[in-house]
Amino acid sequence: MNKYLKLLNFELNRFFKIYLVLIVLTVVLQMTAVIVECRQYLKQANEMIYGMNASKEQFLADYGQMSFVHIVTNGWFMWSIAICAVTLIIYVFFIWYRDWFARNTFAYRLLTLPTDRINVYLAKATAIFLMVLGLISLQLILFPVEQGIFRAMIPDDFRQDLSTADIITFSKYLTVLFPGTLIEFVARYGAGLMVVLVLFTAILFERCYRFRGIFFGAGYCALAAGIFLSPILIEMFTEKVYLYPIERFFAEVALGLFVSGMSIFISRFLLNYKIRV
Amino acid sequence: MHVKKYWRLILLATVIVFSVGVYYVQAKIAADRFPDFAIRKVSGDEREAEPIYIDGFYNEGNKEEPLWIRAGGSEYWRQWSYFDRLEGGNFISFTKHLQKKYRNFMRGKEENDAYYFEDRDFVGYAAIETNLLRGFEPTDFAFTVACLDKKRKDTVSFRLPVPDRERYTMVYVEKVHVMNGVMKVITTNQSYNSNSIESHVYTIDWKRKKMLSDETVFSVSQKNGEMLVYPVSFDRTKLDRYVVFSKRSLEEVPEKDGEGDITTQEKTVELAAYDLETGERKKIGLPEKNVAEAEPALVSGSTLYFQKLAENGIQIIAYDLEKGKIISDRVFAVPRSERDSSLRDSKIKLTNEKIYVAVPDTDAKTGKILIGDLKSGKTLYEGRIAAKEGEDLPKGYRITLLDLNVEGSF
Repeated sequence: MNKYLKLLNFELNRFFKIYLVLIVLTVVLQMTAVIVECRQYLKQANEMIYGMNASKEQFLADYGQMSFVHIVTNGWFMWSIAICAVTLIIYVFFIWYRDWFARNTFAYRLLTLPTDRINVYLAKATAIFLMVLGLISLQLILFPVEQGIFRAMIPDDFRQDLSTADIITFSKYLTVLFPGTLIEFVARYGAGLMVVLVLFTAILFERCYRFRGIFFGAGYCALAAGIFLSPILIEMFTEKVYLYPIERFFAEVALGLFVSGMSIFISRFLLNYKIRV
Repeated sequence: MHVKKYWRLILLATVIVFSVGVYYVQAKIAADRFPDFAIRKVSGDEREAEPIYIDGFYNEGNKEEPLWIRAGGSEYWRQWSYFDRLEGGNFISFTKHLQKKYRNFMRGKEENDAYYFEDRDFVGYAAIETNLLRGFEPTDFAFTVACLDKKRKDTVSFRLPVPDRERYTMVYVEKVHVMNGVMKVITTNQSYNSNSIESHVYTIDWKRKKMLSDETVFSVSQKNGEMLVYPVSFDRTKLDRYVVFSKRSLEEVPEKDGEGDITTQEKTVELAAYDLETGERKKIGLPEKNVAEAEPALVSGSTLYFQKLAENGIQIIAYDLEKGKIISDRVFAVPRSERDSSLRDSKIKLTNEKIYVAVPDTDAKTGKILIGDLKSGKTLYEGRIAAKEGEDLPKGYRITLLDLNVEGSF
């Protein structure tokens, strides 16, 4: 346990600089989105009301009130999320390959640590998982701050105040990151962790068997997907619905745990007996 | 443990738990802050309002939230947990009731009350099932039939092509009835080349898995104006022997006081009663113009009820199918109040020998409830839909009543 925590802390520290860059980038891009959208709206209002002598009511009838949904669907805002997502996806691979390809074979030192080698695997997976959730939390903390700026910039009559939950619902795409209920949140990010474990196993296949390992890895991913999605696949091919929605949910939870366990088990074997440095 | 060494890990974990926790707790609190609506008694017996279940919407600005109102209070979709949502909430339907009782038999069957039948001995099911991968395949219509023998715990299940299926573009199952060893499936079919709508009664021998007959009760062509044919509503739990089919014409007429607005006026042209026991068909004469304009709303036993909006309430005409005459003609007055109500938007439900009416007030903030006895014509209950007292109400809120359901009837 102690060794695992040490390794986890080590992985987090290694990524810390890039992580800080991501955080700063997110804050800057999102603040830009808030200011750009608010300014644009105010400019429109000024042009209509002072330039064209339209009344406030008429402007509101034409353009509607400004809500925070405009901001979250702004390009700057969406880029901030896309950049973080892509960086972390790349890091799922980088977290392993840097140990092999960086100066001096660091992997060698990691694998000869006086601890069970699976701890390396688990620490890396937990690190990715925590970093994803960390950015999710950053977004949740940023929302009220950005809404504060938004409220300060747009006068009351022109503004429609929405709760964070409403903004997420109306934006549509944000519901992928922030589902409506806590159970869905846990289930979704749990499934995400499972995907990371499966990808890690595929990477280990490649590290063990090199070129041939790429096919083993791809095959393993297909197998894992097949097992996890089997209730849905069976229903698609037999054209019959067998499970009630609630049963399907628990079947997926069980299969997700199974696939995660299988990934850890196989990775343990690969790390202990097959890995090449 | 060296806290100093692990500060990043500890900080990250704390921030995650804290921010996600706060977000979902806040969302829960916000969901609970929606105003609570209830049905308050004005007069009559309070218990009468208990089975009422109103589907609706709550609006505030451009926020719209599904809402369910009962006598004791209301519920919003957002207040449901994920598991509630998966189960479809406490939504009342015949299908849900059957799913609870016969979980395995109901597995994989489509959720539409019209496809099911239940009596003491059997549960019957007939549907045109949609293919999950390919969707509907026109000209490939087939009934999926299933029957559960409750005592023997025996299930029969098979597929049967719809006779003349290449003629249809759509087949809707409207009612299923199991009686004397056969299953009757009542459908509305849309025909392809003649642009017509037809009412059919299919008789299926479910033990031998055979189609016995295909009768066409009504067939209307859309060439001479818009026409509708459909079976009149019935109480699913009552197992009445008559099914009444109604043929109605839709006519577009300019509104009297409107500025060129057009409303569609429906008129009953023909009615036919089908006896499920004997298979006999009987035409129903429409004695008065009064009745033609009223909508056939419920068949209960051998009585057919027509409903029509009257000046100050709902007019109900009862017609005896066996004697062939009108037995009563009454108006159930909608309770008056200082608020204007839009009678046209009333949700009316006739069931269990009672009439249930929900009328939204024109300001869309409150509404009225009326429950009457169809047989005696007495008003049993009058009530008001309104936010509970002491509720903190936002300025521009509105409620929309979509449907009125009564628990215990389907």
